[in-house]
Amino acid sequence: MSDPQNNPHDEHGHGPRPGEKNYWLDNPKNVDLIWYALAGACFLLFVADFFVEKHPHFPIEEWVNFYGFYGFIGCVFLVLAAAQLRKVLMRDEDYYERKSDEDGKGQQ
Amino acid sequence: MIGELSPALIVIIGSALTVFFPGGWPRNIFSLAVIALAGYQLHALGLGEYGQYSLFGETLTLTRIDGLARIFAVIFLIAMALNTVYGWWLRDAGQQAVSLAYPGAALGGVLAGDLVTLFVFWELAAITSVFLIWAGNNERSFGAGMRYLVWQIGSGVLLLAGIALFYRSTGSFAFENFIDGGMSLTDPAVLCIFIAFGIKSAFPLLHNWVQDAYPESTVTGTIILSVFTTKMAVASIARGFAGVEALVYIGAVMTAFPIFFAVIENDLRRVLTYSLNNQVGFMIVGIGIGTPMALNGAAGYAFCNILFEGLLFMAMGAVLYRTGTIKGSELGGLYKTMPLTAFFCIIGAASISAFPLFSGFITKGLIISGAAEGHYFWVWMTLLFAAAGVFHHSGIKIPYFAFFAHDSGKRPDEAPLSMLIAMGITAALCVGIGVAQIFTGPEGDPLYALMPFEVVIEKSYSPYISYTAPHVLTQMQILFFSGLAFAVLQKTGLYPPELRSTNLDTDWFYRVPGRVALLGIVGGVVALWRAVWGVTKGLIGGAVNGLYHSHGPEGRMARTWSVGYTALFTAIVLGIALIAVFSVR
Repeated sequence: MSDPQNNPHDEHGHGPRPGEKNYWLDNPKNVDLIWYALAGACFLLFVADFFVEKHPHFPIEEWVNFYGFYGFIGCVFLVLAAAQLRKVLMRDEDYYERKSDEDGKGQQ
Repeated sequence: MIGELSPALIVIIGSALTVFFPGGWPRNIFSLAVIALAGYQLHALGLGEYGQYSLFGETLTLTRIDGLARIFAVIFLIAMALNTVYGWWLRDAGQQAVSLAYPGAALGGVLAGDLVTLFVFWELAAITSVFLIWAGNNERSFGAGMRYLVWQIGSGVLLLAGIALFYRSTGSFAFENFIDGGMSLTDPAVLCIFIAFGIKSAFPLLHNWVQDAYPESTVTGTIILSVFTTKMAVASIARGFAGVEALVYIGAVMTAFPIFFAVIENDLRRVLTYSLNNQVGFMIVGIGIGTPMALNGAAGYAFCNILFEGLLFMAMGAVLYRTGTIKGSELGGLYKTMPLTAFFCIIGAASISAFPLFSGFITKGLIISGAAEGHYFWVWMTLLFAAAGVFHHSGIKIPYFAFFAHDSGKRPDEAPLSMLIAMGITAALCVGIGVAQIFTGPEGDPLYALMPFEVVIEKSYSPYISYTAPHVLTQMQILFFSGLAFAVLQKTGLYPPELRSTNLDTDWFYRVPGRVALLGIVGGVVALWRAVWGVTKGLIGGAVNGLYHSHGPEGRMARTWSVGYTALFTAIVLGIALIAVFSVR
């Protein structure tokens, strides 16, 4: 089995390599296509909401496309709040190693 | 042939014997044979209590197979077998033995018929599992393993204290529902056991040992760790505390807060450990609601989670194995050369997100519906938010940043065949459980047949019937609109990029100020010891010097006395003796 350390790495430059096979997702137009497909699916699910009888436990479930809107708003809130959380909680990658080194020096 | 031998003991004894087999296929085949034998024994015994033994005059039960124990035992054995296949390439006798001993101990925990047996396996699982963390074989994994051990042993000590107090007040080691048995959660015995279970299942604020330790293990070790400890705790809580309302709120918090950390975490295996907390949170809510449907949901969700969470950990393990890193900031574009791993990862992601046709969809709804039927509005809202969040960080973030996103330029080989086989079987199980109901109907669903309580379908829109139009529609709405949110945030550049970083969590308290305080205490104790030693040395030294001064060769007592002085001294001593004798009489 190969050793993970000895795998060939491309340390220089990201993106497709010259002469490499062009993958479907390398074309930005195809990425946009996924975008539109997702938006289209959301629209269809929104429309479908009018045609499906639900069995709500809470009045809020009767709102049109409640689950969709709640999921959307919930995720936006999640990401924006997490980005703020980063300001408080993010440290360097070797934060704990440095801390213990500092303590070690303090002891000597 | 093997009588009532516990399936757990079969695995544990087998794990010790693996070292006698040469690494490679002989050891792996032997491991699989041990797991198969344990599975056969579980099946052959059937429901009931086996392996009674006597301790302190009490009859204890090594193996109790009931509905709850069975579903966990079955999935534990499946996970053991899958992990053995996944790690087929491994040639490390110690790690391979522990990879069987630790799951064996956890299996013993879920099959334990009394509290003493539970304690023994509880501790054995703690001690064996730490070797998987230390197998990371570097300074970080050593430190993380030590901290992990403190938490695990702490949980064990609390459990032991709880058992002792429980025995004193009830005279029994019975492991049944404590609250139904007439005890209150505030009873010190019950509270100790509750917190011991809470540590192992990673309740909020007691959770961080998971994120600290699990990602420091090896490629295979992290996958194994992710399965057993927390699920053994879930099974124990389901047995001891089903219907305790506090669990509904604890579980709800557990589902919601780790996902914020998961969004900003760069180590993708650590993202999955936050996801693990969130997933166990769903199970805890189900246990807290305590209705047969919610408990079935919790146990069924644990069953499915072990598969799909394991699949995600396997995919990330393959990435780590092939690229040498698991940091989101270093990865991307791997689908080009690891398409099968990417495909299996997406199946795991779809399952954890509870997409229709995947396993999470069948069981998560039982818990969320349970919360709605129990009229827990805010808990229900939290669970929906958490369900959207799971899709976001496990469903999208994990596959997206590893296999797609910006092209990292890395072109690793596809995962080794053994990993692909294990991931393929796991993925097939995720899909199989997800679609079974379409073919068998809810009454014939094989997962429902394994559930601890009888599945009763009373109405046409029972949550047990997964494939109803409103259930499929509402689930698709929440998932697709969450996906849309991710796409919009990516397009607008609002999505926080993957950055090389450490995010502080509760471990900061004991790794920084706690460490400083501990070093201060150690320094203080050293100084105090030196001071006490100095004073003692001074006093004793002074006394010795004084004695030497008076009794030493040059001392007063050593001088030659004149006859008259001796006679006078003798008379004084005799006089004192005479007075003393008279006064005593």
